[in-house]
Amino acid sequence: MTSLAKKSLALATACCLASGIASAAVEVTTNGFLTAGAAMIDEPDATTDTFVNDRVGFEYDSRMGLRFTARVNPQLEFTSQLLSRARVEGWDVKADWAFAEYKLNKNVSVRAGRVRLPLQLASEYVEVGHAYPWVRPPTEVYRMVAVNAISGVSVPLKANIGNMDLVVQPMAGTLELTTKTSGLDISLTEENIAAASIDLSNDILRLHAAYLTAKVNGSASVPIPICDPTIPYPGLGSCPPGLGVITGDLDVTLLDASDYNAWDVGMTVNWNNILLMTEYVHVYSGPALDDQFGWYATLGYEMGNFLPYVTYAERRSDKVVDDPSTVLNEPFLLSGLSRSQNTVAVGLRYNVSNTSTIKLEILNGAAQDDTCGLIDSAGAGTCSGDFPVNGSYNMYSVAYDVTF
Amino acid sequence: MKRFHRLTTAVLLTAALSAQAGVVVVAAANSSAPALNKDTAARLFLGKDTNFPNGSAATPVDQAEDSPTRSEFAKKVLAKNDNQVRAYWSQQIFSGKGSPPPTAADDTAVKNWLADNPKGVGYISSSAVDSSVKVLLRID
Repeated sequence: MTSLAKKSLALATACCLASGIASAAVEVTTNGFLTAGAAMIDEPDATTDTFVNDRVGFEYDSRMGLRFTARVNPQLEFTSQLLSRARVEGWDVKADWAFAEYKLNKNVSVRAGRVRLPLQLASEYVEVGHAYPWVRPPTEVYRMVAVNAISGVSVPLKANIGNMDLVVQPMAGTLELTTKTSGLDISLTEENIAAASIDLSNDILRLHAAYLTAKVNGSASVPIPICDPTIPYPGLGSCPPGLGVITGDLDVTLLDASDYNAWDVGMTVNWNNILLMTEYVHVYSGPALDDQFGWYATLGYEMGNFLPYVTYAERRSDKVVDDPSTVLNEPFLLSGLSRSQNTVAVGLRYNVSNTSTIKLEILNGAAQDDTCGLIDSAGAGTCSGDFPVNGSYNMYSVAYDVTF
Repeated sequence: MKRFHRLTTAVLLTAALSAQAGVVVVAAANSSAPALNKDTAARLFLGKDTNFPNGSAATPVDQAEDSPTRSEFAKKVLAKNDNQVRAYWSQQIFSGKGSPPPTAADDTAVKNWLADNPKGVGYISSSAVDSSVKVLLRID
């Protein structure tokens, strides 16, 4: 398929593998994707949870990925995907996923390594803009679960039921990640992750459901003023009042083996020229954090190479932390994570060629429930910039997606 | 003038016949591949199955993206338009679930490819059928 510019070459190479293969002809396939995206909001000095502010910037949505698959034989292959994201400070590169897959038969395989976690409809290709209609998947749902891959094992099982394809994928593993929320760098370790997804699909319909449970440890590095006793102040002693103060970091435990559970149901209908996608996700995290849920519905209609669409989305907290100080002496940190927002987005996808698309999107977000919505919060009742609690904003986005 | 009319009529008839020629799913003439129906053919070309219904291995070959035969095949057999096929393969590739078949430029290239690949299965315009191929499915 030229649209995806499949580059395949057969390499006669010596492989020393644990399976005892001394040498084999390894078929290596390379594919890639790139999104150059720009976005801005109309709220001065405010910043969204996806780092979009009132300046047009390419660092919010731009990314590039390369996927390599090395097929050792019909049963065994290795797959890796490198992902590079634009950031204000430059591009970062990480191994998005990398795993070995052994096919036991045509219906059962085992994957081990850093494997994709298919918790949501588009989780497995969430970085590939060419694969979905939006500029970015609705953040009301897709930012809530910031986990797309785990270190562990998955066992995809396939079956046919009538004219439907069934894929059940149980998996288990661990995860370490850092995330930035409300200006804080938060480190999370998820242990004892157990998850399963079920997909039932045919040419028109796809039904999806998934569940994940884990124990989460979390800590944040909080900047605080501290005294530096190494700075000499002759005649005044060390650390005199008002002098000798520098900014240090205090490691604060946010979560200690806290329960983390998430479930998701979704549906895609692709019937003639009509595209309908809808999805609901619910995350509940024990006593330490607010429970959150979100959903969206997207309706689009294909007209030749044009796909206009409209999306409605909501995100809510359905439990307020009663006494955050029981889990943290800085309660503002947690209450600042509550996000409730209603969003309406209209967009247009245009297929420029077989391998590239241009997308335009205008989004209106309205914060709800005395929160900042998806505008970053500096604590309860304080939003970034001059954005008011329960305020609304517009976001304008454009993206160019390519696969190769 | 009569000659011009006859020529015009012939051109129009040829164009009309070509447009209605249909698509056939084919294998090499000496292939043991069995007859297919639309569903089994679609599953092979979407990477959902890797074997013919009789259990023998199947290696599909697609046509180039600018091929009108490809669009007709996608619409009539895969039940998708060109954009939906592209989105499908983007999802399959980057979720690690599968890769699209290799492509051949046109009907002739498909027949040449099948001649070199005894497990191969492709599709061509029905007007391109000759003794080098075995028809597995005919779609008008």
